[in-house]
Amino acid sequence: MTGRTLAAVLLCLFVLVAGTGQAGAREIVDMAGRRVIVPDVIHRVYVAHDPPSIFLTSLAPDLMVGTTFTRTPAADAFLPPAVRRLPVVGGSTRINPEALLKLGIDVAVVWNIRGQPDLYADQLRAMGIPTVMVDASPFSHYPASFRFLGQLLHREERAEMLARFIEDQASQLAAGLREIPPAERARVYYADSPDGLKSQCAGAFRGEIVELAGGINVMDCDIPDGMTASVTTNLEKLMLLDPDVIVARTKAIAKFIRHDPGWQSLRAVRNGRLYYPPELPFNWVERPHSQFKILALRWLANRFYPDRIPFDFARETKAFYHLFYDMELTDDDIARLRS
Amino acid sequence: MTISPDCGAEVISVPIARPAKSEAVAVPLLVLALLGAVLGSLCIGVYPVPLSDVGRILLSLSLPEPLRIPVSWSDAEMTAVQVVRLPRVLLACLAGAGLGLSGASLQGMMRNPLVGPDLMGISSGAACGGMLAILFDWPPAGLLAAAFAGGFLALLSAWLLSRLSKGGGVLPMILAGIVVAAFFTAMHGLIQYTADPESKLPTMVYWLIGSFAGASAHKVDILAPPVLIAGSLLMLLRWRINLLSLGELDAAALGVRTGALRWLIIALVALMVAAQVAVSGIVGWAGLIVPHFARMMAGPDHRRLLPAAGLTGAIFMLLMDDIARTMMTQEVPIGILTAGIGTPIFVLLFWRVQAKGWSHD
Amino acid sequence: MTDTAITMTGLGHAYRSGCWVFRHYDADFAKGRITALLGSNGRGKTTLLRLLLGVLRPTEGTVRLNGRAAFVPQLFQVGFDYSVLDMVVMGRARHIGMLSQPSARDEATALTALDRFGLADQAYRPFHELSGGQRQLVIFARALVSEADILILDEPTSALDLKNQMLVLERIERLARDEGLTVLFTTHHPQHALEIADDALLMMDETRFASGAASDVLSDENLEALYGVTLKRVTFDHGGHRKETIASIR
Repeated sequence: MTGRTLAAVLLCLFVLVAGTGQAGAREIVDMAGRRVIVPDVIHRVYVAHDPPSIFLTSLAPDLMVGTTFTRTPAADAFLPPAVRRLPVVGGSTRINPEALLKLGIDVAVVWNIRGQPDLYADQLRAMGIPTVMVDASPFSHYPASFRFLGQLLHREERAEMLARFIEDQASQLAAGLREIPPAERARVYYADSPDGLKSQCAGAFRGEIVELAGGINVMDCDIPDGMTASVTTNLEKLMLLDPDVIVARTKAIAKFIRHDPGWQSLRAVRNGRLYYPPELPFNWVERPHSQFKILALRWLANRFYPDRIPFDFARETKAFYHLFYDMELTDDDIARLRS
Repeated sequence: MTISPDCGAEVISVPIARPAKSEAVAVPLLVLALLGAVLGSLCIGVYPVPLSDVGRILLSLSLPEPLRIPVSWSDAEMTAVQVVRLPRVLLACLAGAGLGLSGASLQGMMRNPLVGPDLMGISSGAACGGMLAILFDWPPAGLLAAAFAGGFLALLSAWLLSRLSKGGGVLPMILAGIVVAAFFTAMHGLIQYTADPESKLPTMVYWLIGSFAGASAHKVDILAPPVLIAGSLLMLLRWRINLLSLGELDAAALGVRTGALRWLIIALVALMVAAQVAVSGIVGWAGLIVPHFARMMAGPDHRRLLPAAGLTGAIFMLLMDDIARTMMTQEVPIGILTAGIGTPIFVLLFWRVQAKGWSHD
Repeated sequence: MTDTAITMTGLGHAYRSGCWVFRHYDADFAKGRITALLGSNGRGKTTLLRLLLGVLRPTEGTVRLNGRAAFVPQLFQVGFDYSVLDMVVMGRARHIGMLSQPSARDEATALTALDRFGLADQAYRPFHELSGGQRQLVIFARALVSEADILILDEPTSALDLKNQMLVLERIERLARDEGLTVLFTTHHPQHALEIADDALLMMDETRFASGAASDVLSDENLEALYGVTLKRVTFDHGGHRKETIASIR
C-alpha cells in the first residue's frame, strides 16, 4: 500500500470515527443552572415528564422518540400527525433504564421541579445520557422554557414565535384584569378530587390558574408546595367560605358537585357558576400542565368576569391550534371540546 | 341425672356474692352515652348553627307533617344539620359499631385479645377487592361484593396461616394477620400502579384514606343494612362466642359445631368490615382497642361485651370524627387519629397481655 | 348384659400417613362403670380422648358413643376472666339454641350444680382466682349441667396434692354411682385405677392393648409391659380391711 493511500484510509477512518462520535459538542447551561455537554445536532430527544413533553410537541415533534402523556383515540384527534405517529413511552419512573438506552437518545429533558439536586437527572447522567432540566412551572416560566428548548434544538425562530405569543396573551390578560376593582374579584374554590373536597392552597402552583385568571382562591392555607400537595376541606367549611365560583378540574367532578344534595347548598352551585375545562387532547388546566394553560386562563377569566374579559372560544382555540400545531380545527371539533 | 331444669332448682339457701353492679349497668349507660354523643356531634361543626336551632331542626325532621313546627332557621343551617352533619354522624356510628362488634367477635373467637379487623388484614383485603371493582368499572353492588370477597379471603387466610404455627400465645396470629395485610397491601399497590392515573387512580387512593368527609345519605343506605343485619346475627351468637373462646377441644366437647360457627362469624365480620371500607376507606385500630375499653366496663362475658363493644365503638368513632372535622382548619383523615391513639394503646395492651401470661393450648 | 356406653371397633388413627398412633383397638365400655385409661406418655391417650369426643375423625375403624359425653380437661386456662357461674352455664350449650342465650333456668341449674360442690358462694368470682382443686370442681359442675351420660376426664389427679387427689377420686366415684354416669379417665397412677375403676384399658403400643376388669388387667406383667418398670400388686391390712396398692420395685 502506498503512503498516500494509507493517509487517505486513515483520514477516512478519522472522519468516520469523528462523525459518529461527538461530532461537535457544545456546552449549555440548563434552566437549573447546570452545565451540560450536549451534541451539536440533536436527532432524538427523550422527555421524561409530561409538561416539557407537551412543549416539545409544538416545537419539534419530529425529534421526539415518544410521548409520555396518556393518549386515547379521542385525544389523538386533537394532536397533529407528527405527534400521533409517536409511540407511547413510559415517563420518568415508569421506564426501564435499559429500555431507555436501547432507544438510542441524544439528549434527555427532565422537568426542573425540585431544583438541584435531582436524583433522576443524576441517574440519567450516570448512564451517559446528556440530561437538561427545563422549567415547566409556574406558568410565568413557560416562555423562557420555550426559548431554551429552541436554543437546544436549533428551532430558535419557532420557539421565539410561541414564546412571544404566550407572553403577549398573558400580558394582555393581566392588563385587562388590573382594571377590575378588588371588591369585584371573584372568590373561587378549586375542586380537585372525585368528592370535590380536595383543593389547592392559594399560591400553590397546581392551583395557579385561579389567581392567573384573576380570581381569589378561598383556601387560604400554608402547605409546602409540590406536585403531591393538596388540602382537604369539608362541606361546612365551604358553606362558611361561600365562594362565588367553583372550578372543577374535570367534568366528572363537576357532575358530582352539581348533583350532590350537600353541595346544592352552596351559592355558586345554585347560580350555575360551576366550571370545568376541556379535556381534549388532555386537561387544559393541569395534570398535565402545558401550553394549553394560556387558553384555559383566558377562558376562565372570561367565566369569572364575562362583562370585562372577552373571549371567543372558537376563534381563540382555532388560532392557538393554527400556531402551535399547524392544525385547522373544524366547528365540530370546537363543539366536541366544549361538551 | 338430678341436675335438670325441671326440679325446683331456684331455691338456694346459701348466701351468694352478687355480680358486680358496674358490669350490669354498663350497657344501659353506654346507650345513654351514645345518645348524648350523637346529639352533641350534631351540634358541633364549623358552620355556626345555634343549639336551639339544631334541636328544632331535629324535631321537625322526626315529627310527621301535621305537627310541623314553625321554621326559624335558614336553609343553610338546615343543610348543615340535615345534609352535612346527620349522614356523617350516622355513618360514623354505624362504622364504629361495626368495627367494635367485629373486633370483639374476632378476639373471642380467636382467643386472642390482640387482634382486630385491620390487623387481620380484612380491611386491606376489602380495599383490594374494591379496587379491582373500580379498575373493571363494576357497578356499586359489584364493588360491595368484591370488597366482601376480598375481606373474607383475607380473614380466612390469616386464620389458616395462624393455625400452621405449633406454638401458642398471641404472636402467631398477629404475625399471620400482618403477613396477610402486607400481601393485600402489595396487591392493591400493584392495582394502583396499573390504573390510569387520571381517572381511576385518584378514586382508588382517595378510597384508601379513611375519612367520613364524603358522607351522604346514600352512603348511610349502603352501610346500614350490612351492619344492622350482620350485627344482629352476631349479637344472637354472642353467647356462643363464649364457648368458642374456651378452645377447640372444650368447645367441641360441649357440643359446639366449631367449624361451622367460625365460618359464620368470619363471614359476618367480613361483611361488616367490607361495607365500612367501601363507604369510608380504611379506618384502623378502632376494632382492636374498642373491645378492650368495652371489656373494662362490661366484663368479659360476651353476652354483655358484644353490645358494649358495639356501643363503645360508635361513641369512639363519633368522638374521633368530631375531632377530625373541627380540630384544624384542614380536615384530618380519621385513620391518622385512630392510628395515633391506637398504636400506643396497643403497646400498652401487649405489655399487659404478656404480664398476665395469656396462653392457649 | 348391661348396655355399652362406648364401643370401639378396629379403631386406629394416624396423624400422618404411615405414622400410626395406635391401630386395631377393639373395646367395649359398659354403662355406669368406671374405666381407667393407662399408657405411658405419647401412647395416644389424648388422641383416643379426642376420638371419643368426636373432635377427631378416626383414620380407621369406628367409635360409637351411646349417649352424650362431657369432658373435664387436665388444664383450665382460659384467656378471658369469666366468672365461675359463666363457666358452669357454658355446660348448657347442648340445650340452648344456636341463636339463643341462656335462660334464668339455665343459670339456676348452674347454681345448683355449684352448690352441690360447695362452691355456690364463689359463683360470681373470676374463675382464675380459684385454686386448682376448686377450678376442677367447677368443671365437674359444668359437666353435670350438660346432662351428659358419659364423663371423660383427662388426668384428673395430676395437678393436685395427695389429699386432694383422694378427694377427687372419691368425688368421681360418688358421681358415677349417684348419677349413673359412665366414667372414663386417663391417669398415670395405676393405683388410682385400682382404687376406683371397674375396668381398665392399657395402651401398650401401636397394636397391643389390654382391656377388661381392672383387677384382672392391672396385673404385674401387664403393668411392667406398660411402663417398663417392675411393679407389684401388694395387699395389706388396714383398720381391719384388705387394701390393695401397687408398688414400684427398683
